[in-house]
Order: sequence, then C-alpha cells, then structure tokens
Amino acid sequence: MGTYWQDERNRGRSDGALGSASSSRRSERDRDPAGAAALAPVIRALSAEPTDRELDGMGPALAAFRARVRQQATGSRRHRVFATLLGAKVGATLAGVAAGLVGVSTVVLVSTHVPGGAQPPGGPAAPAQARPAAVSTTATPHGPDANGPAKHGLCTAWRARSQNPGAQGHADQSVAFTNLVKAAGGANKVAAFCADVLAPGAAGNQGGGKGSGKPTGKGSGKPTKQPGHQAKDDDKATGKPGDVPNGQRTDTPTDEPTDEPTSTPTTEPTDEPTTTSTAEPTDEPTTTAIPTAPTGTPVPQTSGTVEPSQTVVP
Amino acid sequence: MIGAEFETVLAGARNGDEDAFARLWRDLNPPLLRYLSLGGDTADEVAAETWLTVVRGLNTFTGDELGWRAWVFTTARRRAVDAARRRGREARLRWHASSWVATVHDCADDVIDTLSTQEAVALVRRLPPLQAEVVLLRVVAGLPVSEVADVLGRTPGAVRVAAHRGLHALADLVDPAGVTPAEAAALRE
Repeated sequence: MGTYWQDERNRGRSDGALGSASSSRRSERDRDPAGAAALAPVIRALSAEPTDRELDGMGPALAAFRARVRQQATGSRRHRVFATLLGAKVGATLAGVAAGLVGVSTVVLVSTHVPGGAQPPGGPAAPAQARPAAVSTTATPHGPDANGPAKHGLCTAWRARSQNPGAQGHADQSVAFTNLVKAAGGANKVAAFCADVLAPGAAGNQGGGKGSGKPTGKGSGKPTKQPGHQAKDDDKATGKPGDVPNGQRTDTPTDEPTDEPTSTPTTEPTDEPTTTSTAEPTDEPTTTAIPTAPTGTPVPQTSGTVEPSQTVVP
Repeated sequence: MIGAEFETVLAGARNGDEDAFARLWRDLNPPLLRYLSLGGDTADEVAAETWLTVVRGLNTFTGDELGWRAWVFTTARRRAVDAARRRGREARLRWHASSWVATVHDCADDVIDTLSTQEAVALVRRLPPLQAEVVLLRVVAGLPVSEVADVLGRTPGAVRVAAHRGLHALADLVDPAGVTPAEAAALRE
C-alpha cells in the first residue's frame, strides 16, 4: 500500500495547481518519508484482509436479493402468462366458432338419424314448424331438448368446449348448454349425463373428466363477448344450412373423417393445436355413424334448416 | 477489488445469480463496515440497510467497478446520514464531530505493527470528519479522488487537501513524538 500513497503524492504534485499547494508541498517533501513510514502500519491495518466478522451477516442482503429475483421472475412470468392468455383467447375464439359449427352440424346430423319413433319433440314432424321457428329468432329461446335427439350433439359440443377452457364462458350461457345442464342436473353432472352418449368414442372419458371440473369457474368472466360469438355462430349456421349438411352428405361420407381434422387444425393458431386437434378427431366417430343412415338423404335437407334454428337461438 | 471479471459478476448478479451477488457482497462489505464505523456502533445496521438499497437499485446501476464502488459508498453515506438523523441530534454530533474520541484509547503505547483494523479505524475517527471520510474512502474503499469527491459532494481539490491534511494528522497520531525535519532529512539520506 505504500505504493498507493506514492501514487497519490505524485498525482498531487502533477496537478498541484492550487494556490496553497506550494507551501504544503515543501512540508510534504520534508515530512512525507517519515510520515509514510509512520502511516504504513495504519494503512496496512485499514486495508487488511477482511475478518470473519466483516464477512458475517450476508443473510439479510441475500434474502433481499432472493426476494427481488423472485419478484422479477414472477413479473416476467406474469408477462408470459398474459401473452399466452391472449393467444389462448384468440385460439379459443376460433376454436369456439369451429366447435360451434361442428356441434351444430353434428346435432343436425345425429338428430336426423335417430329413429323417428324415438323422438318425442322435434323429430320428422317438425319440418312444418321449421320456417316459423327460423324467422322468429327473437322469440323466447327454448333451445334443443337435451333429453331428446339433440343430446348426442350437445354432449359432443359440450365436450369440445370443455376441452377448450377459454370457451367455457360461452358454453355456460348459451341456451343449448343451459338446457343440457338442466337436463343433467348441474354443470358438474354433465359429464356423467353424457357418459353413455360419448362412451363409444375412445376419448369419451377424457371429455367427462374435464367437463366436470371447469365450467363453474369462468362463467362470469366474459359475458360481454358471448353475444357476439353467438351471433357469429348464428350467421354461419343459418347462413349456409343447406350447404353444410348437403355437401357432407351427398359427397362421400367416408371422406369426412380425413377431411375435417386437416382443415380444423389449420384454423387453430398457436397454442391450442394439441388440445383441439385431439378434440376434433374425437368428434369424428360420431359422424362415422352417418353411413348407417345415408338412405335418409331427403330428410336432412328439411330438418337441416330446422335444427340450426333451434340450437342457435341466442 | 474484483477486477477484470467485474462486468461478468455484475451481470450475473443482475440475472439473479446468487454466487455473483455474494461475490459483490464479500468484496465490498468489509470496506463498507470500516467506512461506516466512523459513525460508531451502527455500522452493521447501516451496512445492512445499504445492501438493501443496493439490491433494489441493482438494475439501475450502470458503470465499471470504480463507478460501482462509488455508487455503493454513496448509498452507504446516505444511509448513514439517515441513521444519524434517526438517532437524533446526539448521534449526528457523533457522526460529525469528534466526540467519538472518548471511546478510543491512546494508541501511542501500542505496538504499532500489530495495529488491528479496528484500532486503525479508531485512529482515523480522531481526525476531523471530512478528513476521516476522505482517508477511509481513499484507503479503505480504494476510490480515486474524483470518485471520493462525487461521494462526498465536494470538489476534487477539497478532497485532495483533506486527504493530505488527514494523512498528516494521522501520522501525527500514530507517532505523536513526530519525526523532526532534521530526522526526516537524515532518513532520506
């Protein structure tokens, strides 16, 4: 450390432009060697190696450091979660539209193929009422009967939604799902209610497991958007009711399973594909039931316009 | 001083590396305590507060190691002033004036070579406050004059003068008999 002060003296000399510097410089020159010698032990002691006591007590500082790191981590994680939520919301919107279409079409298809005698309310006898019902969309909505032929489609749609947590809010509030929940006796019983319908599907239990837990939580969060989505579903459902059933029906039914999975995943943006792509294929087994009744081609045309009006009622 | 690795260590601490932070702490806590013991018994407490402030501001700091040291010691000085304010006028007097001398025993009889760090700091505390601070910041913290001037809010010239006088006074304290000019001249030859 003696060199340190040596440097200091030199520096003082080199820029010693201060007015009082000259006198002190002389005394410095007179005294410093002895002063430096006397000071050496003090300097050495002041700059001695750290003692244990001085290195003790990092605890509070380290704790504060950890807390700060944790804070930063959660902050950035919050950022990330927000971003993924945003993505999930967009994905859920698209998936909701897709699931709505699929659900509606399956409702249409399935309900038309249930044996006529087994249908209490809106069976083949319904076509006569179809037009009035479609026109009076503003009338009080009653929706499809979940105990009737619509059960299969509703359950399928419900499961599709339940695998899309973001769409729960819409699912809970639509008339169709309200009917389903009512028929099941509660949102958490829908899975059990639908068990027999969905059982044939390989992923039936999957839908049941998820459906039971989630619906209750998110319902209140997004009510404002719901009408919009419903309207969107309405438009698409009522817009081309003739197209969808006809096209699928008259074209080769065997193509459907292969077509749909490839088309729907492309609509999914980023986050969802793993869940929805597994969801969509599970829908398909229900449409493979179609070949059993392709003979009834005339029926779907009429009832095809009926069912959307029923399920779609806002 | 950490030296060439300082940038890496600081960056590590910023990214949450505890080892890097521990290294910064180990590097500066001893000089911090020595400097802060100018204020008396509160050194540990004020050093801890200083580190809390440093941790909070870790991301706002920019600069090299000298700048880092100057920043930490500036923080320490502020915390010391705060602590002195909290403890009231008496404590402030102790920080500013030399009433702390009472706690210092006379080192003249000690064997100077075995001077402990604490005793050396006690000696420095007998200097006028500005000189004491300047000496400790220069010797203990290893700060250049310009950084000391920043920390203390003084001009570099004032710091230089204070360092000069402080060292002279310290030499007198260590060796009250002093070295006569004649002896000094003799020693030089």
